[in-house]
Amino acid sequence: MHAPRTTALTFTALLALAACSSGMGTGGKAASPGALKLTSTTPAASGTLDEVTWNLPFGEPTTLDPAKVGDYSPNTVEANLCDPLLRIRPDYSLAPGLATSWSNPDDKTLVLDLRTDVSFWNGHAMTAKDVVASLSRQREAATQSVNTQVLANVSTITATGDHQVTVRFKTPDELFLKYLANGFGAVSEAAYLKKAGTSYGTAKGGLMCTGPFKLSSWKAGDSLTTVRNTAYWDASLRPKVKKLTFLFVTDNSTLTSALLSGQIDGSYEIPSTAAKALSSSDTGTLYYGPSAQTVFVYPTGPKSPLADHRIAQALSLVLDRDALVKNVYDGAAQKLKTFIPSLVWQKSEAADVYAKGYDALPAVPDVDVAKAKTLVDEAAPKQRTISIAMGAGDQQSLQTLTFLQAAAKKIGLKIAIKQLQPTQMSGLFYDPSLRKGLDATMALGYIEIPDPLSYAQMFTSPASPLNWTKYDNPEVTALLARSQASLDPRASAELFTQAQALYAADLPMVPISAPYERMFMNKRISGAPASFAYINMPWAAMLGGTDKAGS
Amino acid sequence: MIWRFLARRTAMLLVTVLVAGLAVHGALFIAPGDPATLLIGGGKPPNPQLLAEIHRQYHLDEPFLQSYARWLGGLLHGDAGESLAYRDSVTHLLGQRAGNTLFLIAYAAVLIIVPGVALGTLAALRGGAGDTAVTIVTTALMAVPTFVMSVLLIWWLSVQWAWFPAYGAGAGLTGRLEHLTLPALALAAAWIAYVAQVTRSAVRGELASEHVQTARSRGIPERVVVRKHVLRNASGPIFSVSGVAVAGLIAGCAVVEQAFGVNGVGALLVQSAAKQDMAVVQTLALVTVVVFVAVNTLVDVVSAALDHRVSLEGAA
Repeated sequence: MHAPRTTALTFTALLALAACSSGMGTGGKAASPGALKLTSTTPAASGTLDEVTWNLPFGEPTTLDPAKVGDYSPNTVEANLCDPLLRIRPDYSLAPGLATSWSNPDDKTLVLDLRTDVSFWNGHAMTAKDVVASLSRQREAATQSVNTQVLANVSTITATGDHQVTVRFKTPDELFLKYLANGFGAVSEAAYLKKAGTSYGTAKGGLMCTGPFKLSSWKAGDSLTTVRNTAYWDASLRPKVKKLTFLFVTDNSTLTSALLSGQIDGSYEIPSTAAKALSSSDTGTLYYGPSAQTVFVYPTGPKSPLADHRIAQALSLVLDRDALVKNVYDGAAQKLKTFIPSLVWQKSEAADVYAKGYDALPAVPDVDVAKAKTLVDEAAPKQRTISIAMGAGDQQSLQTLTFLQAAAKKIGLKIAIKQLQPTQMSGLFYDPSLRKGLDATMALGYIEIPDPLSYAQMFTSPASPLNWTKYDNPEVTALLARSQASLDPRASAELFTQAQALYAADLPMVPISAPYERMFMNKRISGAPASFAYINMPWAAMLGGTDKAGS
Repeated sequence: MIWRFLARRTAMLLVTVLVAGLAVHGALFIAPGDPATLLIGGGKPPNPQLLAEIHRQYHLDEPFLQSYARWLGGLLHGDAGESLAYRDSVTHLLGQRAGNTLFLIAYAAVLIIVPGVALGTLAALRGGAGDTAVTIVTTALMAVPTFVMSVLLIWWLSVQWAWFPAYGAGAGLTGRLEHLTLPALALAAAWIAYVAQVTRSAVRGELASEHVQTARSRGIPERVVVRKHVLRNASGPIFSVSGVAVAGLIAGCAVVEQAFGVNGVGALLVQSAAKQDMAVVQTLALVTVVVFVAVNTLVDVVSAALDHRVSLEGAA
């Protein structure tokens, strides 16, 4: 019994590294002729709708527990169910959420003042007790939280009033506050958490949050249904959609058919192979939005030929990114200057500092075969074949690597493409034995929080489990540590850009591109944000009807 | 005699199940990869402690025989284990999906047997151009892979004409009929030729037999001859080939369920194999083997009852 090529794509994306990113030209400077129109928002919805079906192209979530969501599908759903303490807007700026304000009486203390008018779906009022329980439980191994690193610098989390929570730190940490905007900072009811135990967030255990939609039923393998919370505390975001059903179509052609026939109303993360058919359809609109997603090729160990940054640079120099963006991404991507996109910092208080740092980086190289050859000669690698892993069936990665393969030939390097099964591909990020026989992997990832720092640390810090090449530049490590400990946004940004200038020169990786967000909506609906920020915001609360009948 | 036959079949089934179970378990065990990493997802930095915790919870670090024994032991207590991907009991997952798959197989079986037998009979009785046409059309259908047929049907009847939904299993009888028509058609297409050809040769054989000649010479009307003498005697081989086709559908289900997004047992098997969801794959392999053997046994018993020239002795 052999399955057709279908689900592979689903899992490929699961391998997305934590929160990768890529350099986007500020203000769309990298726009090439015939560039697509990017939009963060879509026309506001006008009417109420009984039901909307939305797809999750990466397949069914394995959990909706906010402490455990760490991927496209679970985040897309959970962000509409559980409110975090802070919110992210479509432009990646931070805004108050369940916390109305926050302050630092000293640099090791964070005080969060909570809204007093918020209730959980069951009508119980939200208090500081619930916030403390939701944050503290992520320390316990049994919770299996994906955010334990966020708590690394925290000493205590206490309720200092009915609606006030105080967090004390061992060392100052500017990242903590930003993590409150994603699953880490989502608030669940303490009593319910206790009752549900380890089944919290599963189809059986359910959820108890304060968000604009409530979990109503979850038929494993079939669909997940949410209904609107008519008593939602934020009147400006009271949902217009009464019932929102999520489906898990992972097959590209099935998804395209279902969207074209109007059986499914919309989806984020439209694959490039489906985009062609959808962009020309009159059933609905395909939107392109700014994104914090990134694609790069990353060496799997210190012995990889790619671990020599000269080889990485040489590959960068022969890769025709303009042609790649046009052919592989259908134009829906940007070239990379570094691996952190501007969307991540463009609304920071220190945006100008980050922008200056970005502008000072060397430009994305034009193709220069002669220079690349010189670099390869200089490095004189013992091994001239580079095996690169990718998730089996992921067309976009396959086309990208095929491009790179052709380019590498010109400088005497051979690229062998290794398509791995889902559990192998995701496993290689944990298990060194699964990286044996490989020299590099395709890395697809995104940055969730509006701060580039954590991402840079993941690849440069000697202590990071993702630092496979044993990159160790003490100056970079020190600058990033000081940046994290600096609560003044401008000072923090300044230190970060200094570190960035250093690692940009010698960190071995091949940045490929920063894909845009692709989202499709049937013409009967509108309002959902088109920006990648959807991954951490109650995007479905903005969704509603238009005056057009669907097909 | 029938009891001896059934006892032998049951013993054979038990041995098959044990061997198949070990083979499946072994294949999953040695396959590289770590199913627990799929649970964590890729949107966060890798966290080795978290992985260790999941391994502990699901006994993923156990040696081979111990984990097989654990699953087998659970099975004897009616517990098929816990799915890693769904964090739910395997029996519950199966229960939710069995209805869709059984409906799909039954629907496809009707779509195979009715036209297959009708076309085969027609070809045998008419001969000539009709015979050739039936052979060409059914053989052409047989040549198209199920997956390709699925894509063609979706494109043509769902996207172009919007007659049928492209995705899902539907609910209730009408909803299911509407949603499962295309998948059943895709599943049935390849088997119609098979049933039609066997029917054709069985009916042909009967037409040329002595008792039919005798009946005709007695002046019995042709309609009655065909119904009473030809079809009745040809029913044995027709029934057994239909049985084989239905058993084959069990395997084909995975392909169409996946293509049409039908939430059934076949799709679950494909997805669970990709995720190395051990307990689910093991249990589904077991169920498939049992059902397959049961259907074949039933076919053998009924064939023998229909046609006394067939004995069960050689069949076990």
